[in-house]
Amino acid sequence: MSPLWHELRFRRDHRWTPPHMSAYLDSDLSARGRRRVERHAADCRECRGVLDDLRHMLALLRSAPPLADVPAIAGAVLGRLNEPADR
Amino acid sequence: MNQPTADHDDEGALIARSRAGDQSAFAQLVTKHSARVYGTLRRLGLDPQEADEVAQEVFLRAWRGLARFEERSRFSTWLYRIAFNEAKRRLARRRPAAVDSPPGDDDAIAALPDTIGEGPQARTLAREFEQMLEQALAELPADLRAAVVLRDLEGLSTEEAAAVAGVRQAAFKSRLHRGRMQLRALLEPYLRLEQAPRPTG
Repeated sequence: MSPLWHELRFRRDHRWTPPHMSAYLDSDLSARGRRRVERHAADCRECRGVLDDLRHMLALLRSAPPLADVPAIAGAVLGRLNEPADR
Repeated sequence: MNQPTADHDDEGALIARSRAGDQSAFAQLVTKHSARVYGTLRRLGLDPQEADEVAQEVFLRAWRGLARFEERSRFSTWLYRIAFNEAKRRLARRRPAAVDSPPGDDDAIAALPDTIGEGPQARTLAREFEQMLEQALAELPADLRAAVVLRDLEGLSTEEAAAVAGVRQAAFKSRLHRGRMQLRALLEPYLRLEQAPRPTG
């Protein structure tokens, strides 16, 4: 593979990869698309960093605990069920 | 969250009783879902008092609209949809919110609490992340913020989240991707800091 061909492919993949990172992480890419993201991430430190950040961020978001200090909504709602609707 | 079938049946029974006018059955439904509805409203950008008011409004609307609830969809998804629409109305009234930046937003790193290392580390990290996240979410445009909140924080499927936001799945995925990329950029100092070895002592 010539260095020029490799460089051109790198540049194309560098444009293509970032907009497809979410789909990649959601397993929403074709096998070919997945390989393309993985090949580029292996070659490109910048894109690998972004992909690692995204993966790490999603893990944190998904494991974020529910908010504490939830007010007593059920009691308040129960007291208002007979209110007229046109408020 | 996986809902066992028994729980689902149980919920179906509560919905049926509520439809027949049983207020105590409806109160059980509210108790079961209120924390998630309230949490979603907070994360969509409402302050604690607004989220409390709007959460009550969501359940009152649900009570009055139970006849329109289609049992094929999940009750929680239906509630999310009502909550999303109420939050959107509330936030639209507040415009221009984007200019109204939170106090002391100089530097995300400077805003980190300096008590790292106190107490159980995992809990400290979770609280630290929660604070960073709240500030970062506040900087996202409402549509992108909602996509990230529904899909990644509330854990809805793409299909459910798109239905709640009232857009096609393709449009939803685009919003989600843009929201994630913006959030990543805002959280980058934290994400990289957390991955790096921490100074001891």
